[in-house]
Amino acid sequence: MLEMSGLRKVYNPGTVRELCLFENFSLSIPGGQFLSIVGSNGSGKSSLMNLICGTIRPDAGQIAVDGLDITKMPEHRRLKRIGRIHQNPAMGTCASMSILENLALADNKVRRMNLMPGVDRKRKERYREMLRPLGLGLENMLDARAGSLSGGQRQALAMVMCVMTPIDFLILDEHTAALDPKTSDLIMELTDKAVRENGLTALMVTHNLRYAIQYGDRLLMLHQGGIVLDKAGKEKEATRLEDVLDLFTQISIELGN
Amino acid sequence: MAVPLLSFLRAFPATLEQGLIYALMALGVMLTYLILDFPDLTVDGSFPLGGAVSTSLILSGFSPLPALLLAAAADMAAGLVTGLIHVKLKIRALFSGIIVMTALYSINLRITGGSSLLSIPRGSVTLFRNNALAEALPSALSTLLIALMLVAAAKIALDLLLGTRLGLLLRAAGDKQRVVTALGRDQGNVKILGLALANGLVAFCGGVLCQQQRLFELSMGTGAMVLSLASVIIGVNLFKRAEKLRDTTKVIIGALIYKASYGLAISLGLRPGDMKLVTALLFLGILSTRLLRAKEAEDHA
Repeated sequence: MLEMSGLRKVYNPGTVRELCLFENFSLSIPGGQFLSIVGSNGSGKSSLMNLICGTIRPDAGQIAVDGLDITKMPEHRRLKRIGRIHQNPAMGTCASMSILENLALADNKVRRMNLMPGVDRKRKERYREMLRPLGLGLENMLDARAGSLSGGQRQALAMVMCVMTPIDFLILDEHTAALDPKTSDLIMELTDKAVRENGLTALMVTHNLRYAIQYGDRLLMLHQGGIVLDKAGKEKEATRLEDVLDLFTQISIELGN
Repeated sequence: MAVPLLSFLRAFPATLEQGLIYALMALGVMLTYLILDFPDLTVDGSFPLGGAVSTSLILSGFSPLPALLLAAAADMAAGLVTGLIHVKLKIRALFSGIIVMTALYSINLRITGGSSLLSIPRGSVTLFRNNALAEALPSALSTLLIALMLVAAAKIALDLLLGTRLGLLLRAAGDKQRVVTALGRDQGNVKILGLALANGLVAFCGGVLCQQQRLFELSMGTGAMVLSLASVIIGVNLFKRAEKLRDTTKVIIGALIYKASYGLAISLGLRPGDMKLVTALLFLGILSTRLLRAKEAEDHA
């Protein structure tokens, strides 16, 4: 259970560009839920992800996981139990390191970072088994540098690295936005599978309304730091693309876009 | 032409010795610049710090190896301070290095008791003289061979380190900080650790050089970072296509090439005082071509 209560976030406080994005924002996400979040640019989607991960701190309010207050916990400590996939596929992997080394890094997440060999050769076959279901041929190119991979391959690798060690939350920050439609579909399927198989609580920010409808069991629309639509379960299943699109357009017109 | 060439050849063994010793520092700079992606100017102060500590200790009766280890410890502390300034106070990498480098000038003078020159008497035990190993080796080659052993040891140690879990994390910190954070590690601490290790290697170089020359000079640090960086960049760029060759090997060869071209330039009539200008120009040349290349390649994803 992830609970945010009374969150307040002001950007550029005390300047002419002061922007109060969240004011008394509350949201709770039950464990195991797959939540899709849509909203126009500047609606607070990414800020929300950054608040959850600890990349930015709220000015007021509380964030708690299973009753434990994590509001002041530094980002790297939170990320021990949170996996995050970014929009830019280059963010989740080290370009100069091989696929094998990247996987070994992720594998070592739960281990002590000491002077033991970084890559455990005996795990190679295990890594191949993790890569094979992706259907991208990564299992046959373990020694290739991650920087030489395509965006889709790299995003898929980042996904494998994220769920390799046990995590509670998966944060997907427009993680298909930089990919071509076919690759996006593939990454979405892999995402869904990873979430279901690992029983993860997932938060997916997306500009793709179709994905938001098709995947996940709860749909949220943000607008100027507030929740304008929140449908879960049966209600969500009954939601059609047109409904969401209508609301979305309505909001956009208000903004003058 | 014949005379300069002859003098170059005559000085060649000495050039090689120097190249090998300076390679130790280049390996340290490789760790910060290439692996951690941190331009660490601490080196200009920590190189003489290593020399000052090790030389002072030898003069007060220490054996050469413990003296070097203590010098490395002093430099690790210096690297630690640079890292703390950068990470905790959020001061830019270059400035953090400059601050510590400047402070070290005074500290180095304190260590030497105020003198800017210290000489080690002929009779003193150093890594290169008056010890069992040096006496067992043929005297004409002993310095070269000992320098070679030291570089080989440093290279192997660094290669091994970079292959460990910690090594992978250091490489990740220089490649993509986000990945280190995603692994639940404080990327700032990883950087600080890397800076400490790298400066430890630099101290080693400073100490070894002073023992070989039997002389410590306060000004030996001026331009140390630039000449090491030149070695790193020469080595890495020259063997860009040699994927089988490790970066450590490339950097050592780079240091040898740098010292050889230095020797060549001197025998062609340039004065030692001109060499900083030559290094600066060489450096500029390499960096500007490198910059152009960086735009084309890398991280297309």
